[in-house]
Amino acid sequence: MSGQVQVKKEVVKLPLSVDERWDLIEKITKQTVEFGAYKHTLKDAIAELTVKPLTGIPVAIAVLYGFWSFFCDFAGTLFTDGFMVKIFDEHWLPWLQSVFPGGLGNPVYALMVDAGHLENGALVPSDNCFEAFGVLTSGLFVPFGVVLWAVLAFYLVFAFLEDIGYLPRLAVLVDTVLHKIGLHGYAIVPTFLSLGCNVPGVTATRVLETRKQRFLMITLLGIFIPCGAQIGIMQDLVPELMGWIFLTLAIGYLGFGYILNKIVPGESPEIIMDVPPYRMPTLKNIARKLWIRTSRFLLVAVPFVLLGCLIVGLMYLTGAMDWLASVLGPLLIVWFGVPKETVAPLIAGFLRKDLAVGVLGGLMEQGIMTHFQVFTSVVLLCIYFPCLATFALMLKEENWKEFLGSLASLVVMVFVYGGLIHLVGLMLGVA
Amino acid sequence: MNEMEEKFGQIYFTILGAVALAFGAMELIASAGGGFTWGILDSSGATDPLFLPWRAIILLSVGFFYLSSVKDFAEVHQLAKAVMASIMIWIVAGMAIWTRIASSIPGEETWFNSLEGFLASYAPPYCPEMFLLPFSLVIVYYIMKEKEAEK
Amino acid sequence: MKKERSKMRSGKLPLKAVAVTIMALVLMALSTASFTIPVDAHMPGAKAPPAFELSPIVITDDGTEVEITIEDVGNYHNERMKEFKRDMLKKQNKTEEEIDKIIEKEFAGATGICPCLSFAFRAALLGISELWGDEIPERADIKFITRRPTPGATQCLQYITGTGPGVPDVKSKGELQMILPDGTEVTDLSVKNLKKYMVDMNLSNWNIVIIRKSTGDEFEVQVKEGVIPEGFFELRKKVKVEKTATPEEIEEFRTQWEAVRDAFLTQPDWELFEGVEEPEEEESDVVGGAIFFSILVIGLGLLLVLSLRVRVKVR
Repeated sequence: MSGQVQVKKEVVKLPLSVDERWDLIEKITKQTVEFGAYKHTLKDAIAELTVKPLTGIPVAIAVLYGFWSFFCDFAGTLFTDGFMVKIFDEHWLPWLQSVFPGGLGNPVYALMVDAGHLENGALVPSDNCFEAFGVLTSGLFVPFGVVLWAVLAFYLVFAFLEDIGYLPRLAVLVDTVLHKIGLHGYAIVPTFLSLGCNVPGVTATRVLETRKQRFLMITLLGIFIPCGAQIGIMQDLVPELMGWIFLTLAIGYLGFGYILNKIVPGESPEIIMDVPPYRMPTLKNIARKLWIRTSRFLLVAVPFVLLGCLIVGLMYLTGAMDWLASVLGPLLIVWFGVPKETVAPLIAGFLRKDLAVGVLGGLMEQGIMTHFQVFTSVVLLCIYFPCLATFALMLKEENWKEFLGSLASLVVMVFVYGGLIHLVGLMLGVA
Repeated sequence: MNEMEEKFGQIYFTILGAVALAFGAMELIASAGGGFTWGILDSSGATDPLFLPWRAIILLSVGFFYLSSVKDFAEVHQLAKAVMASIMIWIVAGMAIWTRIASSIPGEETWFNSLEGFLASYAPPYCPEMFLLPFSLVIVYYIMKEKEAEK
Repeated sequence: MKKERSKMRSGKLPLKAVAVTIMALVLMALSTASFTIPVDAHMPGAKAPPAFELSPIVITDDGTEVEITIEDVGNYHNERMKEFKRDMLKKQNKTEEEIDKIIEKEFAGATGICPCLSFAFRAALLGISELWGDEIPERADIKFITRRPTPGATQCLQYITGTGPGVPDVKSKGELQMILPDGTEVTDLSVKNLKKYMVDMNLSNWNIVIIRKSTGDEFEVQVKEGVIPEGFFELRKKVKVEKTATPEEIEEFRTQWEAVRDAFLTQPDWELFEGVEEPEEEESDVVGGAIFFSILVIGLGLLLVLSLRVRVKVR
C-alpha cells in the first residue's frame, strides 16, 4: 500500500516498514486509549464466584437441581401425567380399539392398535398405550405423549443456560475431573447436548482437537449418556430408580473413560476457550433455538419410533421374537440376570431407546420382573447400543478403525459392566 | 452503601445464614430418616428420594455463603456471595413453586382441576426454602444500591 | 484453564477405577429392594394375592420385641398343614417318597395366606391397636376368643399367642379359647378335630374377641355383611365338605375365595368390620392455598413492575 496517513499533525509516508508500523500503532494507542485501574462490578464478582471450585460447585449443584426439578415437573407432572396420559389412554386408545377393523387377535389390528396380553389364559385388550404396543398407539404415545415434553423441557433449560453464559463456566468447573479421563472441561457441552439427543452431542465433538479426544467422547456419549427421550420415559416408568440409574451411568462414564484413556494412543491437548460475561437471555433467541432443536428432533424421532413399533410387532407376530428370546435367553438370564423377554426391548433399542424403555414398561406391567431386574434392564438399555441415528452419525464422524474400536469398546463395556451389576446383585441377594 | 446499611446487612445476613444452615442440617437429618413434616414445615422429599439430601446440601451451602459474606459486606466480592446465596434460594424455592403450579393445573379425573382443588394445591406445608424466599429478597435492595454506585 | 499438557500413560492397570466402580455398585445395590412375586396355591388353581401392605403385629415376649408378619404366620400355617397332610398320607400306607412328592406338588409356591388366616391377622391387628394404642403388648397379656374353627385362623392366633405347636422362640404364652357361636367350647385345636366343626359355617363364625388380660378390656371384631359374597357358605360346603360341586361351582368358589382373601389383605378396617368408623376425609385447605396463591400473584406482579421500571430507566 502506498500513500500517506495523518496522525494528529504528523504525516506518515507509506509504505511502512515493520518497525515503523509498530511505532505508528503506539502513537495511535497513546492518543486514543485511556489507562486506569479496572473496578470489578457485581456482575464480574458473580462471574468469578461461579468459576472457582469452592463456590462454583455448590452453585452448579443448585443449577442442576433447578434443571432436574423443572424437567420432571414440566414433562412428567404437567404434560405427560396431567394431560397426555388422559388423551391417549382414556380417549385415543379406546376409540381406536372400537373403530379399527379386525379386533383383538387380528394380526393387522395387533400391529397397528393393540397386541393385547394374556390374563388367565385369555387374550384381553390393553388399558394403556404402553401395553398396547401398536404403531398408532404406542408409536404415537411415546414421541408425542412422553418424549416431546421431555425434549422441550431439556432444550428450554439448555438454551437458557447457554444464552445466560453459564455453560462455559460449568466447563471450567469440571475441567479437572474430565482431565482424568483424557478429556477437558469443554467436553461437558457435548455431554450436556447428548442428554437432549445424542446426535447433536456427537456433532459437537468436532470442536475437540485430536482424534483420540473425539474417539473417547463419541464412544462414551454413545454408551453412557441417555438421551432426553429415554430420560423422559424412564422418569415416567421408574422415577424411584432415576437417581441410581444416573449414578451407575456416571460411574461407568468416568470409570471406563479412565480405562479407555489409558488404552487409546494419542494426546489430549488443552483447549483455550472464551468465557463470556453473564448476559440476560432474549426470549426471541431461546424460542428460535427451541423451535429448531425440537422440530429437528421430532422429524428424526417419530419415523423411527413408528418403524420400531412395526418391526417389533412383526417380530412378535411371526415368532421371531420368541426364537431370539430362546437363543439369547441363556445369555440374558445367566450373565445379565434379566428375563429372556428383555430381548424385545433390546431389539427395539436398536431403533429408538425411548421405544425400548416403553417396551420394558409393558413387561413391567405384566409383573415378570423383579425391582432389581428392572434396574439392570434399564441400565443395559442405556449402555448396550446407541440408537440407529447416533450409530449412523458415528459411522460418518469416525474412520473405520475408530468405528470398529467404538463397537469393540461397546461390546466389552456392556458385558463387563452388565455382568458386574448382576454380580453385585447376586452378592447382595437382590438379583 | 453507607455504614448503617452495611451494618444492617451484616446482622441480617448473619441471622439468615444461621437459619439457612439450621434448615440445611434439619433436611440432611430428615433425609436419613425418610423425611418429616412439622406443622407448615415440610421436609418429606419428592418421589425421587435423592431430592431431599440434594436440597439439604444446597441449603447448607447457602448458609455458608451468607455467613462468609458478612465480613466487609460492602466489598463487591463479599456482596456477590450474598447475591449467589439468594439466587440459590430463588432456584430451589422457585422450583418448589413450579412443582405446585404444575400439579395444580391438571385434574385427577377431569382435564383441569376444580377451583377448590387448584387453590388447595398451594396449601401448606411448605419446604424450608419457601420460608427463606421472602427474606432473601432483601438482597435486591443491596443489588440496586451497588448498581447505583457503579454508575 | 490450566495450560499443562496431559500425558498419556500406558501399561498401568486401572485398578483404582475398577475398585471404585465395584464399591459404587455395591452401595447402589444396597438400596435397591428386590421384588418377588409370590405364587399362592393354598386353594388349588388360585391366583397369587395382589400387592398389599400390612404392618406386622409387634409384641414383646418376656422383654424381647417380636415382629410377626402375615408371611410368618402363613409359613407357620403351611408347615402345620403339611404335617397334617403327611399324617393322613401315612395312614393311607403311602411310602415316604410318595408322600414327599405329593406334598411338594400340592404345596408348591403356597404362601399359606388364605381368607381365614388373613381375617384373623387383620382382626388381631385391629384389636391390639384398639386395646393397646401405641403401646406394645406383652404376649402373655393377650387373649383371643375365636368363633372360627378353621386351621388358618386358629393357627394364626396360636402363632401370635405362642400356644401352637412348633411356634419358634416362645418365652411366654398368651391365651387362645375357641367358643363357637352356639356356645360350644372346643378345646382340642388340632386340624383333625377342627374339621368336624367346619361343616356348617356362617357369618357369625367370622368373629374374634381380643382381650387385654391385665385390664379386662375387650374388643370384638365381627366381619360386616357384604364382605363375604352371597352363596359363599353354600358353595364352600359343596366344594370342601360334600365334594358334590360341579366344575363351574368349583371355579365360582375359587373366585369368591380369592375375593375374600384379597379383601382382607387390601381393604381398610372400616370396610371390613362392624363398629369401625370411616375416618373423616381431610378437608383440603382451600383458604391456606388461596392465601399463598394471592401472595404469589402479588409477588410476581411486583417483580414484573420492578423489572419493567429498571428497563425503562436503562433506556
